[in-house]
Amino acid sequence: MGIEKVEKVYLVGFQEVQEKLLERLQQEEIIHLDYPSREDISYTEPSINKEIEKAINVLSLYEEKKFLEEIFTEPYFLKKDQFYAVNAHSLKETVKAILNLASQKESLSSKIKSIEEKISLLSGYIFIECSWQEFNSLKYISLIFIKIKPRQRTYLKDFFKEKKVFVKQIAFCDKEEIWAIVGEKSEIENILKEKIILPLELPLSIWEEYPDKNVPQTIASLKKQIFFLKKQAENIDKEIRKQLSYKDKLMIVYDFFLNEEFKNSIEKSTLKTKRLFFLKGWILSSQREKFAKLIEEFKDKVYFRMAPPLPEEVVPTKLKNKKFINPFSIIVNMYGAPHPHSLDPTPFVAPFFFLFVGLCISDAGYGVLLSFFSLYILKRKKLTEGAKNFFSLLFCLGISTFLVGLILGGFFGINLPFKMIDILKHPFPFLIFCFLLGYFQVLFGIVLKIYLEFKNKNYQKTLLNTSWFTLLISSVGFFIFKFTIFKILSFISILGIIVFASSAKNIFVHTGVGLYELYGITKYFSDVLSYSRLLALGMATGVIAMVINLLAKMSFKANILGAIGALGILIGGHVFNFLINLMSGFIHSARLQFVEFFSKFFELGEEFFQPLRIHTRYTHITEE
Amino acid sequence: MEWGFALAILGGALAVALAGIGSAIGVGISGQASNGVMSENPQIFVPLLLLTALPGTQGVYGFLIGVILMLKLGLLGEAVVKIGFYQGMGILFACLPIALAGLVSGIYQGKVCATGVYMVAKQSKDFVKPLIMAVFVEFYAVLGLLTSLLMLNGIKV
Repeated sequence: MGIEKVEKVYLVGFQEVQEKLLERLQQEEIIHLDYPSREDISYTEPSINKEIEKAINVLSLYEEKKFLEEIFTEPYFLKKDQFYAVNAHSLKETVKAILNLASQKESLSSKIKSIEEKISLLSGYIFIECSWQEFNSLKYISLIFIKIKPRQRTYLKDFFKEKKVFVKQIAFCDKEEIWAIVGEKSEIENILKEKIILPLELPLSIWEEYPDKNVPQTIASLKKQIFFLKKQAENIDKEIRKQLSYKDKLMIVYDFFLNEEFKNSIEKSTLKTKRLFFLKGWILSSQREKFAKLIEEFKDKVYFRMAPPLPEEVVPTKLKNKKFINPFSIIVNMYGAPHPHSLDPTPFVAPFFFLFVGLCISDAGYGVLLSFFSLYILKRKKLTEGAKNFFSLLFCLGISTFLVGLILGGFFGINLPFKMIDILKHPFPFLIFCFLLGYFQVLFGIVLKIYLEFKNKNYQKTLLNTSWFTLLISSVGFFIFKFTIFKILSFISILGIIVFASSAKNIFVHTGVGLYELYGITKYFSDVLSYSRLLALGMATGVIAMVINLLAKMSFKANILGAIGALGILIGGHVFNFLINLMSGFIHSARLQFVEFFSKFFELGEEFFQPLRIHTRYTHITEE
Repeated sequence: MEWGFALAILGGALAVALAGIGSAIGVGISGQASNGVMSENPQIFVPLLLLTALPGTQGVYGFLIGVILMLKLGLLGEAVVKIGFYQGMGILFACLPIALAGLVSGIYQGKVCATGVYMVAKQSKDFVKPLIMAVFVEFYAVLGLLTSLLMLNGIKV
């Protein structure tokens, strides 16, 4: 439990072994490098990787995945020796072939798309049964088409009666009629000048391409073209599917090049003389021997020296916890690295977070569901270290939810017979309970602060926080029990706060700072009130679950179809309620830790201890 | 129908509708941002899903008050209770905290979540931090819910 001891190390060696050394350090994951500056190791993706990435993306389009696999993609695990074993250069041809196929496919698709657009344009003119040649060969007469609404019919008939043209209704189109009008060129021109009618614009440019065909024939031949193009596309699809087996190798090669580039960028960023390089970093004290052994491999080429950190340097933080509470370190990781001179809050966060999430979800059935689901994922799926921790955490939270659910007596919204507390009927005592939990956690935070200040020999702050602690205890004690002793203690505490708030010599400044510090009492009030969310979220889960059951019951009573619907309501409703409450339960509980608890004692450090490791994107490198 | 009963129903309707509007707008804002980001980077679906879903809770809180009211008025069972004018007025007022807090906090939470979506687009591993920021906004809907619940609980019918 706690924060591991980390030591500073300087390395000097000959440049010819630098790459090999970095490779070994990556493999052993032993050193947290202290780069001259973070920006120096920003690096561009190697150009070959852009092609490989494209090829991987093409292949992943062809992978058949179920919906759930889309969301929970299992990481690709790889042993270290496999990582170095792939022949990167042999795959260049494969990448080329895949990209070639993909570009062929793309050009086919765009061809198909443009032909489909042509068809959809032409399909509005299937009534034209003459070819472009015939249409174009008209010298003395004109043919135009107009689209009219039924109510315009009589008016237009009268209109055309007086003209020397031949008019015929030739088709219907969405309740509108298409009329063909034939007449001498000059006559038609005169009619158009009157602007009574507007001729349809014909798709001349497409029609022109097939001069000897009328519109329906043109469409048919275009469709034939699409058919052949689609067949070609299918063949290409088949070819690409044949390459699917290369996807894993491509991912490894991508990561291999990525890692090479990463190593290069570190090499570039290191301080150098003509022949030597210089590195500094941090190692765990517990791994000192292992580190020395590793350097021994580079006999007479690399030397190292341990040294205490400089006063202004902040050592990276490495948390070390028992397996049992390790999942809860996720909460601390989200917040940031604790200062190495402070303490690891994981064991203190664990019980509160465990209880709070349980209170927020507060349904035994959902607890069982959560635990079994996480257990299933843990047992059945290959997971990274972080994911394993996360699902272990969910498993624990499931247990807590189950236990709280038993006490509050809800099982998928059904009231259990042995309900101990009915928060719907008597919410007030439970609200007080939530405030008490908050009060306790806030006090606990102050105790941790007192401990830390004492440990760091900051006695004034120790006394200040002790005064706060006694004030919070005695004032609440007086409020409940009305003992005079609490009243006296409260006044002493207030005095203590004013006295220890500042070290200023000027009495007015000192008192002013003290009074301002005392004003901080409002913060403690709002902190404790914030815990009311536990009750509200807990109630929300129970009531929504109840409503889902009620709706299902009403649907079930209706008829046979309703009975089937009831099942859908039950399953869909409870899954929805479960997920949404899991989410808000988790986030709200995390917030209570971050804002109400951590603010009392947490001291942020620089960063977590992150040993140099093989840098990958698609694959996960594992130990043996 | 009595006046009091109608007022009580109005309260429930406002709770569900206003909080629902807040959530709908909020989820709308964050959902649009998510879709935009996913067009560039489809792999971060899960964090975006969480950020998009978060402003949805206000609507659920409003609905919850609506249902509690329906249970109280006996609308879901056989016997409908009798409610006086002032009692109905009280029930209407008791519904307002979640209705109004839900409406406004839903919209603003949506905005916070949308900016969270943009943050996740750049740093996909840090998605819990914007969630926590968004929860600060949600707290006021939670307080509204709690107040409405306790008030409704206090009105005996």
